[in-house]
Amino acid sequence: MQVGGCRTPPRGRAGASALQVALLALALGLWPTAAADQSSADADEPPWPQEWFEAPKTASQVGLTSFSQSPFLDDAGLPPVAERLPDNPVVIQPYRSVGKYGGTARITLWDTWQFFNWEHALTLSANMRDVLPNLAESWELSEDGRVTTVKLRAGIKWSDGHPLTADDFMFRLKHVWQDPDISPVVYRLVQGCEFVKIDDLTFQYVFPGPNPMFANFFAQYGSHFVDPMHFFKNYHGAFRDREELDALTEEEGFVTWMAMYGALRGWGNEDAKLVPTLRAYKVTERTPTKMRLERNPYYFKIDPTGQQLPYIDKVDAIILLENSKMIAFQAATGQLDFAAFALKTEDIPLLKLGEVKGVNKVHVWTRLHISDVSIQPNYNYDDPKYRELLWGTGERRFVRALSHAINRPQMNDVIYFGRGVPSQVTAHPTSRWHEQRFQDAHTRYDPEYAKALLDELGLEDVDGDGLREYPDGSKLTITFEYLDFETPKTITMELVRDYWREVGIDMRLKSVERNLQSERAQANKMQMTLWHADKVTDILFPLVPDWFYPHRTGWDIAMWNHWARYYQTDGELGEEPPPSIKNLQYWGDQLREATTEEHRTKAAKTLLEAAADNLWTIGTVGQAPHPVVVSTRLKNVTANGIWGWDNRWTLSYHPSTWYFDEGGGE
Amino acid sequence: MRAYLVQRLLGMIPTLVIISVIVFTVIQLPEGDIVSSMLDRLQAQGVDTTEEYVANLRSQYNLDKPIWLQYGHWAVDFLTGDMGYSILFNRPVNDLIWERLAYTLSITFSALLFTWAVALPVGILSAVRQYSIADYIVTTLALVGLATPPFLLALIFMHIGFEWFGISTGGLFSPEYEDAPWSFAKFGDMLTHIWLPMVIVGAGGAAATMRILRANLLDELNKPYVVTARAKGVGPVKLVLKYPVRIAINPFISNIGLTLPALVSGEALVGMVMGLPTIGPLLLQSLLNQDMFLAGSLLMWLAILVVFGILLSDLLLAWVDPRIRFE
Repeated sequence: MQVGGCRTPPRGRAGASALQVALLALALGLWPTAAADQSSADADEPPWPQEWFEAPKTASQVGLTSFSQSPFLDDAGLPPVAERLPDNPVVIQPYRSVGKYGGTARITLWDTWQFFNWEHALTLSANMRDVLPNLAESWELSEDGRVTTVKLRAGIKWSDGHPLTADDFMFRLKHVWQDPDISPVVYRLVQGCEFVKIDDLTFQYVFPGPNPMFANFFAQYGSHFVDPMHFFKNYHGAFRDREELDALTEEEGFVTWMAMYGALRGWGNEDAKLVPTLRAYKVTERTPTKMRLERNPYYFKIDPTGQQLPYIDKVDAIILLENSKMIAFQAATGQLDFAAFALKTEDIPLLKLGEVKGVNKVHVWTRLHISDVSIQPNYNYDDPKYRELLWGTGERRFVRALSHAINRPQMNDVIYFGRGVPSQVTAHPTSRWHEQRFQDAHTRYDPEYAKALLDELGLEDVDGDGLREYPDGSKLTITFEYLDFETPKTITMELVRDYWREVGIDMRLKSVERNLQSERAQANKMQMTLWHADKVTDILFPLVPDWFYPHRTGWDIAMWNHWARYYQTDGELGEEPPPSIKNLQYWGDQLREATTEEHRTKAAKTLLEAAADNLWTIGTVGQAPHPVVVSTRLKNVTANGIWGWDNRWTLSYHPSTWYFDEGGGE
Repeated sequence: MRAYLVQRLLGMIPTLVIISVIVFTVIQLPEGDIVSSMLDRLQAQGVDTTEEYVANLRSQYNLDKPIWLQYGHWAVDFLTGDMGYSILFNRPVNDLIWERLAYTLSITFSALLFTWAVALPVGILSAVRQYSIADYIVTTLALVGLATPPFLLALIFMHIGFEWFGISTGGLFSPEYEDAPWSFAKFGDMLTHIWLPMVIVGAGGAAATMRILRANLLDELNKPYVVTARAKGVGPVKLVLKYPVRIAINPFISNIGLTLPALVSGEALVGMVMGLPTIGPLLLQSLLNQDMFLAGSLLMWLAILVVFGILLSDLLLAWVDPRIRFE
């Protein structure tokens, strides 16, 4: 069943679990209108395969004993396919049908993280609730939550044929994440983490305190946990004679060997073709205009008939610098086989023109953000009058009034063709902790009620300009500074400004450049700002519940800097938060550290409930339509995925099973 | 003459040094640095952009060192032909510029030739046949050309190119020729692509040059020596080309020094829109992201082009117009 699949009328399917049936009902309940108006468009879309929700089967489990390879590899002088595959290859169920080999995919460099995804030790289920094994065959969390033990599948190889072992994971953690030269400041989520190698395929991550959600991080962020040690140790200061390494750095034109390491890893240059990979494709050439890739002959996945994946032999990624309009144009005219990352909601009409002409197919996926804009009033702003308004005797009335003044349905029509979902910032509908009442809290458009609340606060229009003043008669003007990036923020905020003006609140928009956003946010100089509300699924919400309690500051979060600093430094810096906030900080810790499901649920619900009631941030419209354009020959792409960082865009939709259905077809 | 040349060349040194200091300072002026402006890009590439990560990147690229030290390194390296390292692209600046130089030069120079090839005859024609139908037509076209921003022209031409002629958009080659070794077929393929950027980059300049030429020529054509020559029966072609055009062309030549960098920067927008592998988009990206070594090196090259361009036009002027003397 599809959880993002509010867009498709879910149909009964034999073998669906009770949970899934319940979810279906929930999904139907949540979006009856959306489901109805979508039914005609996507009527021929089958539901997602059951296999996408479970640990993948292996060849022995499904009884496969013989394997085949792409004809592309026939004369490449490689060992037989059965030797290249792991001892027991992973079987991936394609979305619609078993495909055939061949072809060169035309994409842009922007989509290389989507068209063939990273291979992590663990991966995510299609509904983003569960962590599933991938490179690993199994993993286990110790009872106290401190130790995560991972067991790799036997016989997986890097693209140069070198076996994947525990050392590759050790290398990344010890010599990159915790290397004093590369990372003088160790990243919060792996601080104090010890690596214990048990044998070549088994290893443990040991944390000083309970870290039961580590598997989520390990699954979502897994590409940052493994590097081919046999290759990278030649470029690493801890493994190579320093003088030799410095000479090499100099010769290659890098500033430091760390930068060279980073460049190799980030495949920014031609040398990327040297770096062994676990992904479905490896780089063969890089020119100023193109990155060329071909299939990784050692890729560890097969399809249900024993064919080694991927189906498509080669990929040409065009390099277009920050040129999303050009990409939209190329996608609309059928010059690309897959395009999505650089496309925007507003491009959909243009892209659909191509569909009308029959040169492409435009799938409308749902962006993961629960709200494209999450408005952050600064509760710690250094102006007593403004602070009193947000956090004083009037309690939450001011923020609630602002929320009720926003006409979300109209906003949805104007910006999203009516395809988004009005929403506060809360857990994503795929989450086990999602509740409709959290999502709907104070989203009703009711300007009269908003005015009444503002009147109660003593905000009256004294000078007759139609805009309210502070109770003492001084001007109330909110300067709203924001960075326009990723989601349609400017148009959203222009609408919000007009809605607020209607109830007498004077808000001035100021679009700032990104460095300024970063500086001013962290210096607590912003009265109000915004970000998009991602990190709200079961995978990332327990790890970084940014919107729900003060625990960190950053360019994306600037509404309670003092309280967050107090929390981070155990009271040394910042300002002591009120008891209600301290309580939330306690539950925030519990959410991350709880070792039982009940306790975690209690923590999650406490945070979500508090957010819905207090409206720490004001949400607008979320789960917005995101165009995913495919050429007419590309098959097996799901029509209604969830598009976002939490699931690495396509991680659970198995791009390696996408294929071309017209022969060798260039 | 030789003394003059030496004097001019020596004068360039302080100019370029001052420019380099200004360039480096101005790039650093806005708040933040390359690392903070890379945050969204990094996030898009699957890097968690925490403060820890940012601090780590700064130290990897020596951005935590004092600014004068960074400048010193860059300046010394620049003199020895090493333009430093682009943090944005994770590659040495030399490689980045080198691989794009051929495309840039071919577009810029073909655009320059296009400008002259169009502007000279058309300008002369519209001056000699002032207020004729032809003059009105080319004047209208020139004004449209002047008034239309090149990026808009690029969008329109790209659409027409793809819809009507089936030319794939973006780049200088069709996909099938991209890998092929150089051959006549590949050259031909490049010609079918290069005319678009050439016309677009050159159009604005051609229109402007044509208008200037026309105005100057009109001034000259009514002077007594022209009337006298005509009265003496000098042929119409010789009459116009021998003296009035030579004089009318002066501002045009003195402009060459500024035309070179203008073509490179005009090409930036077009290169952006059309997705060309040229230096222009590189410059824009590096400035937006405060990638100081890349931006600094590119701006230095532009400055060098301007300084030498001006010298070149001064020398050319003296050659074309003997009335001008070296001082």
